[in-house]
Amino acid sequence: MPETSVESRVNVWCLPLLRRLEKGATATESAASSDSAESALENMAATLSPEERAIAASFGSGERRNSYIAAHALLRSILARITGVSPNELVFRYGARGKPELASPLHDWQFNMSHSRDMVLVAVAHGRRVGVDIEHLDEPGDVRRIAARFLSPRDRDAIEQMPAERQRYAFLRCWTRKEAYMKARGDGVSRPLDDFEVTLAADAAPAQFKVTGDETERDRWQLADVPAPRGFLAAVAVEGQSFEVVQHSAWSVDA
Amino acid sequence: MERQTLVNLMVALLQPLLDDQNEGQNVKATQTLSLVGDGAALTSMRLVSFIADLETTLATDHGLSVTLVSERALSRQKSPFRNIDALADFVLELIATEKGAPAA
Repeated sequence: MPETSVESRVNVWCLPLLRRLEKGATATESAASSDSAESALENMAATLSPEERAIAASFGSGERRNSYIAAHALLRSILARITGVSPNELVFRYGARGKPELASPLHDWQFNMSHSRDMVLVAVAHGRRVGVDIEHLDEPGDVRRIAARFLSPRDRDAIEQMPAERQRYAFLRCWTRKEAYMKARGDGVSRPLDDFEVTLAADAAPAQFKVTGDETERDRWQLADVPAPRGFLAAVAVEGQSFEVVQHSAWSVDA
Repeated sequence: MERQTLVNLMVALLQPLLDDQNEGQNVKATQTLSLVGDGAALTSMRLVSFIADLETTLATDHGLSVTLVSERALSRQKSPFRNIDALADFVLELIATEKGAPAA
């Protein structure tokens, strides 16, 4: 029986990627802990699909390739443990805007992944869509300009009413909640960010409170912040009600 | 606006963002480079920065007012932001609609 078979559980992992490489940890059942980072990476790459390996190869030989391989191998390792299928036998299909899903007959298992710098965030649920986002507080970008262009007036006002030193944090809190929701739906950046609003006040639980044009949408989704290491903000969006977010801070072949 | 002019503009706006994100890795802004989905070349924050840059440049340098992130974009079966080629087609369509003429 998969460890996360309870349908009311949404399992979330927030893990460092490069530390896994440094320790020689791998996503395969057979790797030894003393493997070098490069051989660990090769073992991880062996669990990916030909399409994923091609994407990794297109990144050259730097950190971007390594992060891609480690993140996708970790994702496959988690999904393999949950579904009971070998990592390299998992088949993904992709939505029109690129959201990956497990192909039939495992398609009831829903997942989503985000990574920022060294951290990867993965959520897995059964029978309900999920989306995640993790961002570093130092993520480059003119947040005032992006907020002015893309957020709703209410979101902007909520951010601008905060002390200046809190505005970047508030923007990224807003961003992670919104992106998690858009990723859960599979909309990507095509969805106008001012089309829906989220709570931002420090004393308010993360939630959507307005979605333009669809009154039922607000009640269809729940948002939750995910505890993340210092310097990162993370959120998860989950479809439906009555679920528990269970966060895991470790993953190994024996987890 | 000529398509190649638009493509050149987008490449010029995209390249600094790629350089910033992929320091020392020489990732080139090409017309088919993936901008969304698995293996996207940009973080989402940089992608919206690119979109904002493009809207601003089209307005200030070319007198063209277009809103790229919209219900129209959302209604597309495939994301118009998936690469520069697709985005160029989408922008030209928006410009043509704005002017009341069919896209070139």
